[in-house]
Amino acid sequence: MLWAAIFLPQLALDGVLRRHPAPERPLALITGPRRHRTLFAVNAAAAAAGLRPGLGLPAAHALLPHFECHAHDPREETRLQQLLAAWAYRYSSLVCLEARDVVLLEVKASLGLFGPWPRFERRLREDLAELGFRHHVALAPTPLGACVLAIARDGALALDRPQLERALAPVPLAAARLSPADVQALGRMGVRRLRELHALPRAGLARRFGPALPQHLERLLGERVEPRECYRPPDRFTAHLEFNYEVEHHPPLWFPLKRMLGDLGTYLARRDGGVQRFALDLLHAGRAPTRLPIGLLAPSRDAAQLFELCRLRLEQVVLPAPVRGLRLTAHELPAFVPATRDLFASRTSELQAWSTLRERLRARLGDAALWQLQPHPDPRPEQACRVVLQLAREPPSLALPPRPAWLLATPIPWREEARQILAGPERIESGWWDGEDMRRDYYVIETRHGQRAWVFRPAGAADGPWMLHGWFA
Amino acid sequence: MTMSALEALLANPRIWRGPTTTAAPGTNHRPTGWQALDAALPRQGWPEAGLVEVLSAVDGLGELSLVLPVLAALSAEERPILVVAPPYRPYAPAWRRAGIRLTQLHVIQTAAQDALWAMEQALRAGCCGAVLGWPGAVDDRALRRLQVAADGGHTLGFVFRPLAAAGAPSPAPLRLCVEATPTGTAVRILKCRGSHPPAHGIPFGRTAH
Repeated sequence: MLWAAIFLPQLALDGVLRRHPAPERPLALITGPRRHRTLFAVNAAAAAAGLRPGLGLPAAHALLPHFECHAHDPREETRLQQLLAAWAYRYSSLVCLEARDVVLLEVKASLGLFGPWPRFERRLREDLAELGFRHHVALAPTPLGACVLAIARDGALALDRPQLERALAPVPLAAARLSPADVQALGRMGVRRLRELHALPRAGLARRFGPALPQHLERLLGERVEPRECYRPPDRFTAHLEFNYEVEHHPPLWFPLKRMLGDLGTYLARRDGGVQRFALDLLHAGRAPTRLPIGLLAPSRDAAQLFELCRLRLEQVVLPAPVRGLRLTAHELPAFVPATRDLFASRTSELQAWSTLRERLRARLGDAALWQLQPHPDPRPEQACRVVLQLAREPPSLALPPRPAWLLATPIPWREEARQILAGPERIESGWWDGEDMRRDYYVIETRHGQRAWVFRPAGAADGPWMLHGWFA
Repeated sequence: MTMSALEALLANPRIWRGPTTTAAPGTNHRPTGWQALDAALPRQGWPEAGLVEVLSAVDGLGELSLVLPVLAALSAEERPILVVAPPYRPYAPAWRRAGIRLTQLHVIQTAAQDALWAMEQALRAGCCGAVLGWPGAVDDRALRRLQVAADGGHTLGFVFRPLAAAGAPSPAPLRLCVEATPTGTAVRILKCRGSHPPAHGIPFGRTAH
């Protein structure tokens, strides 16, 4: 087994910067209790001005009067780590998360598919750069060894045990994932690098520091195998974004929404699935969030199409209160097969698929505005034609007497004279079981103006009042 | 087979050669399903793309059965047919009896302004076989936009308007009107591209289904 470790030194800061429209301006993450706010991380522009992690907030403002502050949220780090695990799942079936900022993937089984390690490593780095995360990548035969190598040095490579020992030798103890108390105690003993620690007898280490330290060393070199819990992609997607300011109009929402839908598209592509229904929540301060359910008639994973649909629907909504955040949740993730396109299609290139057009119409006009017709084997004319959202298969045809192309929603009285009766009477007597029984004699008549109408009168009455029910258009 | 320069010049549709010549080879058309109408139209059928305006004074004269055969042919080719804001509800048994596959038939029911937007989107998309619309009282500009969208998306669009609009100019390349005569209903071509419209109406004998 060969394990690749991806260490993310600035996970929280990168998570904020990747969604930021202007990342080159000074920005810092703030943590700590309310009385004593300190800087957790700073970006390059802020560091150039003299800000450092651990600096108190008043001192930071004294050094640099204007910089942007974001609150540090540990849950966001966990969420980002899950996102990267989902991304790494594309390249390997064994993905583990270590601590808060390392993603491990077993690559020996994937080397046959993604090429030799240099090519594979380049692909990983390109993807991470596109996602917007700074990273160290290292390769080792054991997971813990790879993790330690990645933290110590970017690009470290060890293909077997002797190479791993050689690579681990100069690593300082602080980067070896030992407990800080042990590191301090060993430092006082003069042991500062892993080669010195390896040289010490294991039995003595066990007596002084407990069994945990020798076991850690054995795991590092592969003498002790530990089972690891692997990452399994969850069956739901959630993305959450809070703003530092209040948004009162729609346009500032488009950029973060596009990023969130891009993340959803990446997640679906890695999972080889699609989404059919998801919900967009607009979070307000002091109010329940406004929920915007968005449903498609067929699963899709095209981020651009989803963004267009969200935008069309969001523009119809009047914001009831200023928006402080966005949340995207997708629980139903069915399998998705993209529609095949004919390579030699003779139509022009501006063809949109019918499904794309249908979703745009439904997004703007509402879900109930577009429907199809389903015939029903009921003798009553009103019940014989039902409205459905989508017709699954072609209904079988029934042999019926002539029927009009247009049916009026409710019959209206018709007081003109008929020039000629073309067909009829057709008696329809039915519907006693649900209270809407009718007894009518239907005729096809031609009016004075040349129209062909479908009229009826109550059954049996030879000269009763006519009612118009349809047009033979 | 190469065409000589003279033949290429004569095949240009901008050259009008009188109503008795047959259509130049290569122009696309769709048979209307009514033989007399096919013979009278300059291209022996509906145009492949563009707006067709059908005017009638009242409902029920047969203006819809004029287009039902071409809709049946389009739905048999698995092309979607969109009916935008019809004045009444389409009655499924009758449309199916005319040969239209109900899985390809889609109906939009919405307000007038959105109906025009929906028609324009559907015409421009190019994926529909035919789009039917009842725009109501619209001016020349809206019809011009629909015509441009139909040309751009290479889609056939049918627009049904009252007979009172016959006097107003319209950008649709083909205009027909369905009227009742003492001998039955007849179709008169008011305007067509490629030749002068015939002077007399074409008897339109629709059966009682």
